[in-house]
Amino acid sequence: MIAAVVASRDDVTDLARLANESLGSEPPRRDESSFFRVQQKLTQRADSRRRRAQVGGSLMAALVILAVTAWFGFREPAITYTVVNGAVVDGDHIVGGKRTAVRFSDGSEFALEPGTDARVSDVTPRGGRVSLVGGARVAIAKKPGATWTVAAGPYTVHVTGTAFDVSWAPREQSFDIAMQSGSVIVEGPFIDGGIALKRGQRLSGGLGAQKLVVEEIRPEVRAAPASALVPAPADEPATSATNAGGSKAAPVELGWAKSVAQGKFAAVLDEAEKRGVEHTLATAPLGELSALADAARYGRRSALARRVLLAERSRFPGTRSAIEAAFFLGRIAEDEGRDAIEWYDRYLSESGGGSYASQALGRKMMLIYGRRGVVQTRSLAEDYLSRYPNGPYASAAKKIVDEPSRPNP
Amino acid sequence: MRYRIRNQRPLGRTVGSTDMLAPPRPVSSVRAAPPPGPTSDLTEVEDATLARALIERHPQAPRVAWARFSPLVRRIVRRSLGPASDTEDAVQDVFVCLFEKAHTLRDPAALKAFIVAITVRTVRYQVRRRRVRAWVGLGDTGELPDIRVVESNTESRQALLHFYRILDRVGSKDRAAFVLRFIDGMEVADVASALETSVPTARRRFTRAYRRVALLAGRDPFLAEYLASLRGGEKP
Repeated sequence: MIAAVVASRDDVTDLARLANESLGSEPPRRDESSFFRVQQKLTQRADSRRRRAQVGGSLMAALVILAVTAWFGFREPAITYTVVNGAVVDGDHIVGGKRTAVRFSDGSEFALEPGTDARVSDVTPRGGRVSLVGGARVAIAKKPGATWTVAAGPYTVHVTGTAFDVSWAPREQSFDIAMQSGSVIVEGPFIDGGIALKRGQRLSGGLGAQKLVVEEIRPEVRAAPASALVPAPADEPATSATNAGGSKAAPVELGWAKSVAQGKFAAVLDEAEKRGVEHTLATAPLGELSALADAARYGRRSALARRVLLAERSRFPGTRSAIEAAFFLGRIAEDEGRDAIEWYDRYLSESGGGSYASQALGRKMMLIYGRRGVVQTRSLAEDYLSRYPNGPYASAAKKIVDEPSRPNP
Repeated sequence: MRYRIRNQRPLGRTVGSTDMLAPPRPVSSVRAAPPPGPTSDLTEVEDATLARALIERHPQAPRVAWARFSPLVRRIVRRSLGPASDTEDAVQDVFVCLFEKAHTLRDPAALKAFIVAITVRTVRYQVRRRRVRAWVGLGDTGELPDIRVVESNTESRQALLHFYRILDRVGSKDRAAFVLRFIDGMEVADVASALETSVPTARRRFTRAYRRVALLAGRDPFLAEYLASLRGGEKP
């Protein structure tokens, strides 16, 4: 082991003394020039500080100019809008009149139905929010990054670029959206996490009906969405009857359908009662009967709805409305706890795969499952899956098919 | 380089403060003689009066301060940095700082302590800078500098160089404490004031430096021989 060698106290003191004695002051000859150098350094530092301040100020000014230029030069212009055709504008509220439209600078347009209350808010360079009470035909310009929101009562429709008809009736708490093109996402009561709708689909219902229904829109209805409930297809005798009845019949019929579309169910029911229910059932054209049936169903007047639907079937047999009446009669019977399977069978046999076929078959399947158990239902479930693999009851059908066979308790 | 002086006491006194971070006290509130006029002769005035003249940017004040304190500053710088350094640049930096920061001096009577504290900070900065330069290959040339040594012989010059090479291996704060205490012979309280620290901390620093210097000097063969020859004895 090597012992550490440490200098003694005297050694360190000697070294310190050597340094003390050896390193005294500098020779005086350098003193004056050194002080002159101090003054030079002071001047240089002052100049340097001044230059730094100038450069810093210039940089700051340049940054401010850049920021201002960027803000005003590159900022996207906010969307503006104009209201055409004499709507009453109260602050940011727009009340729909005859052919009222709200046109936005990005090309989007909201055609308001008479009496509709609209409010435009949260307008950004890429979209905005339009709150509706009533109905409107909406056409959103398809642009990258477009973010439009249509609020109809408690329902919110998220739009990127599409066209659709939307309405909200606060009194009846009913919501209706019919897609013309594109796709949207709807959020609101009875919808978990939003439901995507695409072209040709319709979502209707709401708090009043305590349910929402997604259905396919008939091509002719898609073409004339504002009067989606106006029954005047060329193949139906009611049209000719209406036309034959004189020039005043058509506007009345259109009025009931429009009222229903706007959620004014009570007004339609009042009008029918004023005319006399029996008289209406016996004489009203098919379009009026269809609108009245819808008003009665949405207004929770099940008994009246059943009578109107039966009248449709007896007076206009073979028409589409009469065939669909069978489905709605089945729905009413199901709601009242009566036998609905017979009506669903009739609809399925008469329609041959109509708009409500998937629902009729699915509902029938669920009713049979509830009464007779999985064994009796499995073949029906397999049939459902083969015909409507993505239908609203496909999930239930899969569970029935996969469920182990056991008798219903 | 930032100068921040705290816990400062005037050298050789027990009261006073030169806290440069505190807002400058109005000169009129400071107890002392009235401030000198622009044409006053400052050559013989007390430190406090000179300090007030510096604060008020009296035209004569820098030159008088330079004449009065540059020997002290130069001595501390030379003894701190060693024989192989350009002390004059560091001395100039001390006075540049003094003239720029004089308005932050709260107690004009503590001018000397204020200057010593600036000197110690400047020296520490120079030591750190020299280490960095050595790391990146910009160190000393290795030539023997022209030193005015009392015992003007080659051995003493070599011993001094070896001694400062040892000090280069001591931390900058400990080194400053060692130099002020053992080479400059300052009182412990004054060392603490110059280092802007407490007396126990200052004591801890120069004691630690002393032990390290003793250890390294004992391991240096040249110094061991030189120290032995001083006593006319044998090599350790």
